[in-house]
Amino acid sequence: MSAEATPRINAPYLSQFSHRTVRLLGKVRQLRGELATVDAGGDVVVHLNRDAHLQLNHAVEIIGKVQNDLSVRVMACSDLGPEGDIDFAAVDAVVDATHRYHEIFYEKEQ
Amino acid sequence: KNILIILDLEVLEEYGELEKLGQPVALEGPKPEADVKPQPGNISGDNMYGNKQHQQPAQQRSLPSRTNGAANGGSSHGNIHPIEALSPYAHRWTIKARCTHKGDIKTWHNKNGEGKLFSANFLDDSGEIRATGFNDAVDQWYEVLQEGSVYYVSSPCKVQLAKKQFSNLNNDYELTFERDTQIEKAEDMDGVPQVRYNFTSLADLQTVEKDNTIDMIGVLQDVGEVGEIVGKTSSKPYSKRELTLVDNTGYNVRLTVWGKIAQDFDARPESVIAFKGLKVSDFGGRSLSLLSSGSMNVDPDIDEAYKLKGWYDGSGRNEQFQSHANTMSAVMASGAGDRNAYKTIAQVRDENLGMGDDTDWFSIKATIIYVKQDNIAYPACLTEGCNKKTVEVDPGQWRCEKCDKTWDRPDYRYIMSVNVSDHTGQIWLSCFNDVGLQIMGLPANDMMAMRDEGDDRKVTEAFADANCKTFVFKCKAKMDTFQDQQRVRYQVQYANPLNFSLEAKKLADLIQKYSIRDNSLFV
Repeated sequence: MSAEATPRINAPYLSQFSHRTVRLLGKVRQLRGELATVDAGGDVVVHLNRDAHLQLNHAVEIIGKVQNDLSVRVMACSDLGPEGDIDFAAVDAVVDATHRYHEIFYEKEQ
Repeated sequence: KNILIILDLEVLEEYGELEKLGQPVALEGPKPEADVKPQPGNISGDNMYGNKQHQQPAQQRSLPSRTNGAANGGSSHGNIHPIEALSPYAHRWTIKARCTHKGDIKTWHNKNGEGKLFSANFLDDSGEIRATGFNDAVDQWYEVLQEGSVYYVSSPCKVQLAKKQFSNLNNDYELTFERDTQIEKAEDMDGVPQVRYNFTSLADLQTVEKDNTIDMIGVLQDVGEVGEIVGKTSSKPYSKRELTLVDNTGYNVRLTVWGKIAQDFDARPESVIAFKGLKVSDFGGRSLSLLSSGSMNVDPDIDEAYKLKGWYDGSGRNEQFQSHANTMSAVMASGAGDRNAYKTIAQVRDENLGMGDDTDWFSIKATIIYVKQDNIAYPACLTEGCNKKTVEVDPGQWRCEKCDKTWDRPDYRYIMSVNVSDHTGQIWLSCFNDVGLQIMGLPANDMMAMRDEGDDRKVTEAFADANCKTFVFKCKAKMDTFQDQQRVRYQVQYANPLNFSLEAKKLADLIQKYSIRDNSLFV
């Protein structure tokens, strides 16, 4: 595993993290072959890799790189089970804290 | 007609005089209900009802109905006021309300003299109010008022600010009967509801402060046995029974009923029960107790009951419910006296919990970092419920003094010292069998057997497994004298595994407090 930071973001933050490696936690909404749509506070298009096995309406955590068009190229992902089991309020709180106190979590490009 | 009473008016002269704005039209009164209730024997008289029916629509306040005075020879009742509208500023008024509760006559003797009083609760379509009668009023009215009947109560009668600590009703005011107060039984009970509920859902219970009064409706999930306890101050025996109720907000709650209700309780599990007048306590997170002035209604004929029944038959029966046992009290730093206060270990030390004369209670979220490996259990008596230590009088003969029985093997029960830590420090806790089981994951008997067989590897493994488990420990702290030394001992009453959702919310709220001036992404 590389030692680079993977700040947790959700959809609104995509543009701020273009070309960076990030973490996204969202609900799988659509599966179309190599592409999928994940709802992480907004819809995000993700490009799956060979190992990615997503299930509809499951929660998934994706580590990937944000592309020019604000889609995400998946580097690793973990299935977190049915979306009903996840407390998304907690997820949003973590994302909020990550950016409010960004100095703890990642280097902000100025 | 709807009437708007203007309490204050300020003319904005600076804007001069403007043209009329728009096209104002008279505000339509509420539409009368389809089945207009006839009012035949109503003492207020039939002739008040001309063409317009002043029915009380479900949501709105009832309007004072105009009456032309004594129609049936009874005393004239003026305008019927809704209870909601009663205030010290109302002059002549009459309410038509049901007496929902009549308390016992109470007497008092103090240095100012002595006297007697009784209280009653009145209910109409708009609200409820408590009324008290003192001394002569007791003689005048105590026998007249019957629970369940409807009365006209007319001024003169004092309306004053309510003493909330004596009442479970939601009204800023309360009534005090005077000598000239008029109370007349109403022949017709139309328009006056039986009981008025203002339900709080179990999920919202978390936000209700302890000692407040609420109403609640839920499905009965579990009924405990009736038990007797003796009152500490009165030394009178009380019957009590614990019930578990659930509702469609996903929570369960323990509710205690007392006295006759506890003794005669026969509602079947899965019936819907509505409660009025429950006191909220923070025992075990949140729990409820039925007040003596409260009431219980099994399978009531109201919409909420049908909704709940439908939900329970549908999905509720199999649902997993969240209990409030892990809920921290609404204010985290609520002082050492609060039984449910979450503390950090540093706070436990700094606040000297347990070092005073009283026992202090607190909860900590902490991780086990070390389990003391010697003396983890004691041999206990096998009699159910008796946990007394047994003595091995002869090899293979374990004797319990209390039961006067000898067993061929002991039932080992945990009595462990564990060292736990959080981000502020570490502390030693004593745990008994239930908590020991949770920590070790296997019964004390198995541990002792492994030790006896010399299976050291398994023993070490068991202790290693116990390490790094995180729990919320509910603890009791008090001073203990041991060999002339006074030390504070922390005993675990129970340990709960983390409810991650709740704990995450707590942490999020804490973090939010650091940035209370900034706006945040979430509410």
